[in-house]
Amino acid sequence: MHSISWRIFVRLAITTVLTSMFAYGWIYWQAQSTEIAVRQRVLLNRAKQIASFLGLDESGEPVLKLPEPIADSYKSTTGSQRYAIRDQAGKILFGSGPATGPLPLFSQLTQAAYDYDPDGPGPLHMYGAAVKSNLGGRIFLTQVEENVLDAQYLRAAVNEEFLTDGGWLQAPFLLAWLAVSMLAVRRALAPLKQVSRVAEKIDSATADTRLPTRNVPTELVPLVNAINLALDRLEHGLMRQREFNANAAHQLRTPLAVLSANIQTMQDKTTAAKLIYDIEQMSRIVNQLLLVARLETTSHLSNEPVDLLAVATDVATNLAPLAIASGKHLEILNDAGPILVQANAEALRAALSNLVENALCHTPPETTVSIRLTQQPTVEVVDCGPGVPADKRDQIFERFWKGDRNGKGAGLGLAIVKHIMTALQGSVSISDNPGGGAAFTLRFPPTPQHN
Amino acid sequence: MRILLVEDHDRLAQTIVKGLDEFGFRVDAFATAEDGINATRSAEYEALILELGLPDRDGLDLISELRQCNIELPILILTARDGVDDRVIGLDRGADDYLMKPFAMKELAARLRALLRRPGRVLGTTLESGNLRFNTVLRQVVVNGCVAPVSSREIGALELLMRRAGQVVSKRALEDTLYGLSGDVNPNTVEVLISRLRKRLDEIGADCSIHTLRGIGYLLRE
Repeated sequence: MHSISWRIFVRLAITTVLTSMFAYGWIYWQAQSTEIAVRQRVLLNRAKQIASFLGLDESGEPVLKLPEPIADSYKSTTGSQRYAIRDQAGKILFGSGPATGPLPLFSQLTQAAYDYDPDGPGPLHMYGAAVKSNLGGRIFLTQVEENVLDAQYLRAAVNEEFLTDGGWLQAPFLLAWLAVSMLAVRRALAPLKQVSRVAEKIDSATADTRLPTRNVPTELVPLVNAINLALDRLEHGLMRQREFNANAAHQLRTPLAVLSANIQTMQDKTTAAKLIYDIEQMSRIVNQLLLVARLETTSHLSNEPVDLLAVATDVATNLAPLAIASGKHLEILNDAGPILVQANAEALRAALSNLVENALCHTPPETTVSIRLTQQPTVEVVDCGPGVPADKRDQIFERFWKGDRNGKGAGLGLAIVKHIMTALQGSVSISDNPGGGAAFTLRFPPTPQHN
Repeated sequence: MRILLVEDHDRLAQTIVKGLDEFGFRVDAFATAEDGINATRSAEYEALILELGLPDRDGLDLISELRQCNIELPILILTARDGVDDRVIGLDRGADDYLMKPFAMKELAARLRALLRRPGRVLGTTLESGNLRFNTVLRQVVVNGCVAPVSSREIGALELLMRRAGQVVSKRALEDTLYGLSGDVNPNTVEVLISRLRKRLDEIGADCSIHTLRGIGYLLRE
């Protein structure tokens, strides 16, 4: 996938996931250290609480007067919470039962927090806190310890709070952020669709169209401008080509007209007739070459509703004198009225004209060339000539292909027909006329029926 | 009859002058649009033969200018451009006919005659085709010097065919001319009429014949 929206989406999604993972990790780590700090404070407070109940009796010996609820709480935990009070030498004076761990290092302070593993890497892990207290000049050390299993309740509580209050809020927010970003990208790229719609419509007939730069994102303006400059150069080339075609037409036909006019004034009418025949062939070839040149500069023929019957009538009207002069009949067979197709009238006229001329050239006198129209829509040109052998049917549409080396024309007619029909998104094909001869069929893409 | 020719190709111009002379036209040739316009001011011409691709300006503009000056000269375009658009623009701007290069001198002469035969134009009132003559004023058909009996409907059809001799006249054009636009015409009427006319031409010994082109129209040919 190369779409800009997709690329931006992927990058945003990756960034979003990484950011949220980092954020969650950081918050989790923060929660963890908070938990440790809280635990230490709790344990120290308990140690201080127990130390506050330590006193000296009349003989100066230490006594611990723990209130019942506190003493019970240590008893009921079966060793998972415990305390011990030691003298300066480390001898245990009072305790809740199970032995506490070794004393931590106080390093000048009066309190210390510590933890240790009584069973190595096993599940048991103890956290502890110790405070120093001074009673009548004697130092006493109070230790409180707690099993990690109990501590985990605390951690679970913190995690739960984090997930319920903080964590879930982030997911919908991130999704909304992604959606808004995508919408913004789409909105920003929308003018490009407009540009491509304009670009789609550019063909040789509308070569002066330029792509609009209005609303196009600034980053893409250079691209659109570059395309417009390329279109300028293409249009210039196209215009030069068209000028060339117009000049070529003039420069080729005028000498032919001079030649033809001069020959017509010749005294020797037999030679004149032969020369005029040659000039007619020459003119035909020149016409076809000029038509080819013109079609090449209009790669995409403009489409307009064209009445096939009108075009056929026009072509037949123009060629009827030729047909009659060569002793042949020409007819149009059409059951229905006008048949509309999307085409280019001039190109279509040229195609049909070539087919009919071709048929008139290749058929014997006293036969009929028929132009048959159907609603499919198709136009058939049916003749009673020799027909086209099946193995020649593909080659016949190639340029400069001639069935008869000495025949008339340059072998361009059918190539032109094919070129035009392809440009009109239709087709041309050959079949046998059931009564003998060839049937050329021009097919057009079906058009949506308007009333 | 004096004809003005504006054509920049010297040899073609000379040949046209010479060629049309044989058909009884006197042709003055000029090579530029400017000279052509000046000529219309200094002499009376019956028709203008105009090449579109002139060195000083486009022939199409010349047509517009002449028509804007209310010069009613019939104009025949002589062109090497075969695009339909050029022809249509030419006709729309006021040209009367066009002929593609290369052309037969006979056809150029025939088209000129057709232009000059139009109502109000100089050329006589007689149409000719082979040994057949038709006087458009007297409405008389003459073959080999004898007036032939032809009904008025048949004469109407014959006139249309003779005016466009060698070219196709559509069935529709015949219907419209003979029966008017509002007429309720039986589809066979024209066919019957043409078949009668054909028989008549045969009877009176005319050497021209009417060809039927099914679905296209009719064509009169010597």
